[in-house]
Amino acid sequence: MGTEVLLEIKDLSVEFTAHQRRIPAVRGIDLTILPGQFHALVGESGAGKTVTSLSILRLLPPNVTSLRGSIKFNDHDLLQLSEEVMRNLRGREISMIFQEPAKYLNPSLKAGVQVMESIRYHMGYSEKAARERVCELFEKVGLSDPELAIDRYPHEFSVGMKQRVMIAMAISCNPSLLIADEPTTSLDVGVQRQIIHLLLDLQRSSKMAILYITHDLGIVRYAADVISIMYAGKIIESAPKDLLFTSPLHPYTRLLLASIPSREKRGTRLQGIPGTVPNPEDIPPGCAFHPRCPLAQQKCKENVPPLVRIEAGHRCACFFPGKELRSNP
Amino acid sequence: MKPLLRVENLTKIYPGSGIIKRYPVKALDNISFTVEEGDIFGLVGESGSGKTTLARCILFLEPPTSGKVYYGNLCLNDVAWYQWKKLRSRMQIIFQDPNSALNPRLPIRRSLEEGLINLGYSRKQRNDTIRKLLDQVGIPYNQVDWYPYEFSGGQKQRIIIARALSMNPKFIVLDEPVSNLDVSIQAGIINLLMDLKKEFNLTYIFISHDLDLIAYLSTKIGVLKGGQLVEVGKAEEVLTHPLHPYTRFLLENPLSFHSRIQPWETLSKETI
Amino acid sequence: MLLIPTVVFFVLRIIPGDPALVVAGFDAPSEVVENLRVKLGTHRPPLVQYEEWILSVAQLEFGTSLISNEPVLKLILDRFPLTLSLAVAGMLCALLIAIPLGVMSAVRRWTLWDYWGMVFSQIGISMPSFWLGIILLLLFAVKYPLFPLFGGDSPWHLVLPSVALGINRGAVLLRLVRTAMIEELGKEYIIAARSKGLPELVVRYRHALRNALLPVLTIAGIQFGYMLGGAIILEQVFSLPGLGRLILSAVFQRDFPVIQGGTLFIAAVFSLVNFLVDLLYSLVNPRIRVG
Repeated sequence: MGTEVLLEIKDLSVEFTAHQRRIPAVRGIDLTILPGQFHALVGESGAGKTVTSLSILRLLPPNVTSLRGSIKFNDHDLLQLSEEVMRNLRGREISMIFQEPAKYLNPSLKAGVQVMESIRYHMGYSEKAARERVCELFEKVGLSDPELAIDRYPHEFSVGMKQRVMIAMAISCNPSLLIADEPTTSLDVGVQRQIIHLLLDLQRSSKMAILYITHDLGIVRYAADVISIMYAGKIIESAPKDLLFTSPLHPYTRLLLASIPSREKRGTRLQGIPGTVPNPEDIPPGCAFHPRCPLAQQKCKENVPPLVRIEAGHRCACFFPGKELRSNP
Repeated sequence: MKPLLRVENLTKIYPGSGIIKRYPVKALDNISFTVEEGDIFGLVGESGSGKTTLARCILFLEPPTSGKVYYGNLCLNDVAWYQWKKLRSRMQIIFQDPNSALNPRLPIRRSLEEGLINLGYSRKQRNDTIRKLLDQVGIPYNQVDWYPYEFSGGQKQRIIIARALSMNPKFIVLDEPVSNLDVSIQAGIINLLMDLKKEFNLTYIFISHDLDLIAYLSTKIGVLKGGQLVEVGKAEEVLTHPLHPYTRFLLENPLSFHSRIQPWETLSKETI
Repeated sequence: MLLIPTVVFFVLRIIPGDPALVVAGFDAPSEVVENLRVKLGTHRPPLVQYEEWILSVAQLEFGTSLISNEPVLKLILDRFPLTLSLAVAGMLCALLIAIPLGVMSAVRRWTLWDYWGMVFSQIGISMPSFWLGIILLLLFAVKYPLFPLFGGDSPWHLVLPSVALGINRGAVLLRLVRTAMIEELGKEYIIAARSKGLPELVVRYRHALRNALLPVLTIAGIQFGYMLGGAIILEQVFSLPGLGRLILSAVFQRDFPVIQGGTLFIAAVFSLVNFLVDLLYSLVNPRIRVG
């Protein structure tokens, strides 16, 4: 394990303005990704995960009114770079894949063309050379008949195949970081497995780091090295996978893990968390989780708990980390 | 004892469309199963397996192409159109998307009242019933005149459950009722459904793609693949001794949170 | 296809005016007129004439002009190319105006560019093409004689009328381009394209415009039929010897065969154009093509 850091996000805050209201989507997060690491960013809807991922590549929509903090990629602060330099990075050093590949592929361009674009633009390949490379890539991502696939249109592929095309597009220039925003949500189980395995293979063979955004703890348990959990625009716990699952510290994490149904829990009541996930527009003061937290004290309503290191590699943002929750009735 | 619901050789074929000959789609292929009173029949299937079609056909929201559905002694195929009104209140359905199931232009009181008005309740009776229902599903009564957009997804689903309950159903078909909700909210809804089942002696047909969920709450499990019921049986049986390879495939999913399969790094040393 | 000739036939018969009278002259003695009627065949009951008409149309035999005695079909085919060129040139003008301005408006939404684009569009829509044609004539043929006043011999003659047509139709298409572009630019694949680090120009033109043009071209194709109609009016303004003028003078002279033939021809062309547009759309939109 090297000490060089691939991506370091420090105190990132992103605020939007919509209908004259300020919406703090991300409220000061720290996140570190090492080279070749599979880092899962977990959170429920509205937690700010997608906004975080778009911030890295600076692909946020125009109604962003505030973007603060630093995102250091190989020691260069991405937020300070010019748009031109960013364009060089996008698709080459840092790539992204998305949920619902049908929407994220141009319906009137052939699959091969869309993959070739990156290669030709970033690496200056000729059309012939690019085509060969696309063929290799398609094989690598497991598309059968790569030669034929190149000339097909997106709608001719199944969902799983479309996602493979997107992955081919993203890895075409050998990025050192791949951002994956819920790429397997709404896919069938079998296809999910294949895509996850594909990503893990690529991670291993190309030493590519993956920032994997999801709400699915099963995928995270299987594939991740490090997990960061987001709630209401803040990271409330971060740890290597084994540590997180054996000794979760934040009450939200613990309750979340207890909410997942399983065969073993038959006949018992599920844990669940009362209340609702807060909208970015109405975040409670102090610790955003306090209205739903069984451990909440006065302190939690007034102060925001900082993300602190509890033990090696394990950070938690809570005033009472690891304290026993009331047991299940 | 006669089962509450009996489905016999249910088949649904959608005709092809278009000028050029298109092949008809067999959404359901010879499905048969029974549901006893008090069962939770968990139907697990992925997209395209026909689960929503099955849900609709059981309740005759769509007529099957062939096959019969029996509710107690009554054969639903033989029910005349004017008899359905009374029958419908006995069988309710809850869908996946809470947003499209509630009329966004009506305050929830109106949505909850509709069925009761149809059954001939007076205003006082309606108010009392609604108050009780909202209490049961955990929505404060003082929000009864709010509009759907003012509620969260989980709350909307609770309101929809209340609406279904208002009809005093015997059984409820639930088509992916929690799939659109966050994990932390899902548990609350599931607990609610289990409580209501006990209190009102309901029977559920619970459809989901999430095998963990089905494994958690079903008394009986059916596995749907490509329109066919490839396996059906008591939950414990199916979970411990799955017969069909597809069932085994679903059960051995390494991406399930509680899977006994080791995570990736331990596997990466061997072949996948 | 049967409907069109039928409608044409009966509409003409309803219009007052006896071709025999026109040919012979209004003061001619009645025997002459009667003889003429027999010769022309207009004395027979309408249904018989109708039958004959349909049969001859099926054989592409449009009859002969009452006035000039030439075969109608020849007259039509002589004049049609000019009308067609005018319509095509007009459409090209319209697209040349609409696409760049529409894209600019969409990309620089709510800025000064956009407002001017919309103002221009509004003005363009409100100006009828024949009025515009007259203005252009006055400006560029009379005051500053850059262009010829009438005649249809060279492409130069077509410039002013095409522009007149183009501005009006282009203004309509401009709004369409703008809306379509705005919609495409909001779509998810644009974010994906940007995430690949492609230059903004490529994203706009290669990705967004390509998809935005699909609905635009369909509408443009349908509009082409109306272009033909506009061309006919403008032919009068610019004294271009096209199909429009032919039909117009035939109407004044009650030259039935020409009117019938001409109108039928235009209606047929219009249908053909719509059909071709459908075909073109299916070619261009890969999703429909495969089917």
